[in-house]
Amino acid sequence: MSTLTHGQRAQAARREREQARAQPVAPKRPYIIINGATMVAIAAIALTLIGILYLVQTSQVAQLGYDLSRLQTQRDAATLEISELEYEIARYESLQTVEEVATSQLGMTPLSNYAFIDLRMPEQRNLTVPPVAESESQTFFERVFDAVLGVGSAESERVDMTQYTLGE
Amino acid sequence: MDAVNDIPRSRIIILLVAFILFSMAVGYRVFSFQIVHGLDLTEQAQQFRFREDVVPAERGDILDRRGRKLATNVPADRISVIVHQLDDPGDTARELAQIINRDEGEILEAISHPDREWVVLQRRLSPEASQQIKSLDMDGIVLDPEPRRTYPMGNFASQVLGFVNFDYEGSYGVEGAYHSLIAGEPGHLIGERDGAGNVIALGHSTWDPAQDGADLVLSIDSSVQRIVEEVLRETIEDMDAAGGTIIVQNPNTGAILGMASHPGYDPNEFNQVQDAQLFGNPAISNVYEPGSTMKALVMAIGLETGAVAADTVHPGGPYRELPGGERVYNATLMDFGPESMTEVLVHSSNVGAMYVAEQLGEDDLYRGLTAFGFGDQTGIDLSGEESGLFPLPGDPNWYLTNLYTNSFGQGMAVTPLQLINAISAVGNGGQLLTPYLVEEIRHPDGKVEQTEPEVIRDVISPETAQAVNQMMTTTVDSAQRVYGVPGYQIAAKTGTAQIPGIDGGYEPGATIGSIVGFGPSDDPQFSVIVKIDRPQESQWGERAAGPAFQEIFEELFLLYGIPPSDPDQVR
Repeated sequence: MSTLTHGQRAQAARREREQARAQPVAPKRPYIIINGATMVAIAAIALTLIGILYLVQTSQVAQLGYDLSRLQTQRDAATLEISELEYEIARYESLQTVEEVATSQLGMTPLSNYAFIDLRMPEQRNLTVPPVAESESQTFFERVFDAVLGVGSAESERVDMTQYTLGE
Repeated sequence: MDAVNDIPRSRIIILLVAFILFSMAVGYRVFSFQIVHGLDLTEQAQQFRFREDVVPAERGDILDRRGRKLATNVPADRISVIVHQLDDPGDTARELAQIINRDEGEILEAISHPDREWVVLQRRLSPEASQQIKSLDMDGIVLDPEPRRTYPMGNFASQVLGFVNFDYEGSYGVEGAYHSLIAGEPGHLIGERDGAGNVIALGHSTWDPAQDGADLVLSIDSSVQRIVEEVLRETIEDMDAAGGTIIVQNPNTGAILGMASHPGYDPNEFNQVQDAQLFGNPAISNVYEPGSTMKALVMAIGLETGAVAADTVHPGGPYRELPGGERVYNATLMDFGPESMTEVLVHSSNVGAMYVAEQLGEDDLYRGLTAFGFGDQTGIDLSGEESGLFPLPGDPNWYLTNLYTNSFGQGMAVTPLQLINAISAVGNGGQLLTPYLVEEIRHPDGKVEQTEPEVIRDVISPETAQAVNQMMTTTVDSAQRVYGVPGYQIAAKTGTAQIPGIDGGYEPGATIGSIVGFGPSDDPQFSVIVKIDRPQESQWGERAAGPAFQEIFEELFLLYGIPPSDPDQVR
């Protein structure tokens, strides 16, 4: 056994580490090998996808266009119908039509005798406003209980009735 | 290889030549399409693909002051024929003739014309006719909707409204006068189209939207209009008259509440009217000699200028001799004796009116009558208004006689509207107002224009107006049973005017009976003029027009809830 000094051991260790570092690492296997064929395939797939998307989009737009046309047609038809109905209303509002209906269907007769009656407006008294009852406040537990049972409550703004004058 | 070698060479050459010829033909067509006609065809394709359509604006409605529609639009079909698609033109003509009420031969001729590909057979079909045609389900028949102007109340207020012709242009009346406002502005759509010519909803398009027309709210009250039309129709029947006119005006604003003339027409069927004169509005375009109705205005001028006072008494007599020696008599040659100015109106004295004119003199009389608006249009918002025939001193057709005859409404001609507008000035305290029919314009953007009453000028003072009001009220009170309304005080003046003939004189026995006035006297709310042309039952205004005047006021007071001043007198 040879005896190594401390310096020699350290030198040997450094050499081993350098040798280990210099030793070539086995190359890792790539996940995708990009060669010419792959590029073509990717391009083809991309083009196909874009094409499909374009077709879908075009189809959707066309469909929307047809929907829009259909809705416009429906709106036009509804507008026409409204016009016809408004015309019918106007025709029935015609005083001649009203008179015909009144006399022939409802048995009314033209006014022959009438009198103007002079009515005097009775004086309005100042009415006393009934006192507004204080609403009872619920406890927290009562409110929880009502909420659990589904009991609803309605609140209204309390109106100060005294601000309104009744009569002169 | 042997088989190929067996094919005769000539056959190959023939095939080659045929192929070359075919290629040349195709090449020629390609060259022709692309190079020779390329630009034209491109343009045609663009035109087809991006065709411009006019988008019609919706015409505004016309409403009365109560909001009832007097004119509106409804869709109506137009029937057209694509000639080359017809299976049997004869059969088509026969089927359609019954539905659209046209002659079968006429239709057959139209759809058999060799130069025509597309024929419009009828426009504005009725809904029933459209339905019948649809049920036929014939090839080559096309129904296109187009707007149709309709008047839901038929011949109601036809001369006020006018009509819309086949080109959708307003003619006569409010439709004509306000056409530019209610027609709107058509829009334009340049859109990308599919092979069938339909606009591609999401394609490229340029859209210039149509501006719809404004709605008009008239001052006409359809209830008043109905009263006026009914009373006029009954009066013309009762009096066996040739025609007539009634106007109801609010004297405080100038608004026309009712305006009717007989005969009228149905604007829905304007194309059936034979006499185009019916389209005019006689209330503003027909002039007549107003007769004694003018005396109230002459009296107002006399009082205003101080030429006479209410208690002035003139000597009276059955006639007055004019400077030329001609004698002008009272009606029925009556001698009323000395008359106060009030009695001049009560008796409708020609001699008294001539006295006032003489006291006034030319300058004051004609200045006053001109101030009342005679000789000039009233300015109503309708087209076709006449200004009347009103010769003034200095005009070639004015003679001194006119000074006297004009005082009782002869030798001059006015429109009914001029006269009622002048009388309204007396009723409202002396202001001449511009009459109007359109009270409100509702623009499609929500903006609303209100018509404000417009004072043309102060004609007489309130005191003079009150004095004349009192005189006219006394006139009505003296003839209460004929044209007064029991329980109410009304101011009015009747008139019976002769009708000028062709030879320069007057037609014997032919008159125009009229009455004009306002009420209630203490707070005038309505002015009314009734004019009856050539009444046969009675030639006098009091009898021919008075009952109609009375009935209209009774109905107006009832309609507007105006209580009587003397309830005990109400029958």
